[in-house]
Amino acid sequence: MQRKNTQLVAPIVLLAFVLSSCAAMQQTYKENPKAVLGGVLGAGAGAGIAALAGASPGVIVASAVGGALIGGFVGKKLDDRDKRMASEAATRAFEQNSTGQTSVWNNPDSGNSGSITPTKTYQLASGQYCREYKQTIMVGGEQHQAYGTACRQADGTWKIQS
Amino acid sequence: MHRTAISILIAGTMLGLNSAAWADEPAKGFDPRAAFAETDKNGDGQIDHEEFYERLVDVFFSADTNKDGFLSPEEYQRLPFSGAFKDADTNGDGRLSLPEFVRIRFRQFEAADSNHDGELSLDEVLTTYEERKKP
Repeated sequence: MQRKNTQLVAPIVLLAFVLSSCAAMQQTYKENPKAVLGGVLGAGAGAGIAALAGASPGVIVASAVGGALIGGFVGKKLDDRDKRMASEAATRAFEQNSTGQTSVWNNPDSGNSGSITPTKTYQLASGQYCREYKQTIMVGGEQHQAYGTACRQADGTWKIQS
Repeated sequence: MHRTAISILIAGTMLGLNSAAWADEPAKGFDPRAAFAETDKNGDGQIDHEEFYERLVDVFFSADTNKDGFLSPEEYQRLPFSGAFKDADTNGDGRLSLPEFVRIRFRQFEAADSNHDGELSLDEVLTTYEERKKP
């Protein structure tokens, strides 16, 4: 089973890199391969949220949230507005929400929606804030969940760590 | 430690309200039972140190409006019943680190822990809160 998953993951990750022309996204994967693989493996049936493909560099820059937020098969089913709304919701959640407080997005045009909830806040020795989060995306009538950690950068953006 | 200060600390801490809300009307609409339940993440009927600490980090994060990792005197004073900044600023650098903030808040936790079991029960929270409401 593990070998089967590995065989499945490899082309997914490769595809992610082919589709992604954003250097920042590739860097995110290099720094956080566990997040990418974990997302792909964890979602089951080949559907992963945390892989890197699908989110355009423009969306990432505009939202200031790392490219690992949405990707893979789920990301490919989302249109640009979905991704922008999801990223904006994530930025709001990371920056403003209390732990347990959910930010939601809903695109009536596509019918897709999602939510993101910080589940734990902590601070590194440097003073940098990090927040663990839970993300849910409803796409095509299917619900996908992912968990991760985002840390606030010096420039005020949030970067997905795992 | 003044019981009123403790009450509001616990109330605000458990609610996770933002600092502006605390400063304006710290107790308005506050439901101590709901706040307790929200903070008591494992549902065992007690607020232990870990649960309290996690809430403190959230409070600190919310109060740190410029997100520089520290609380300025202004940010700190927006918290109700925050007390003298200099008492919390133990290293005297003019800003509060998270460890400094946690240290002084845990002193208040200990004061509210009337049976000294290291945890806050709902009764302890409600007692403190009721004392807060007395004229």
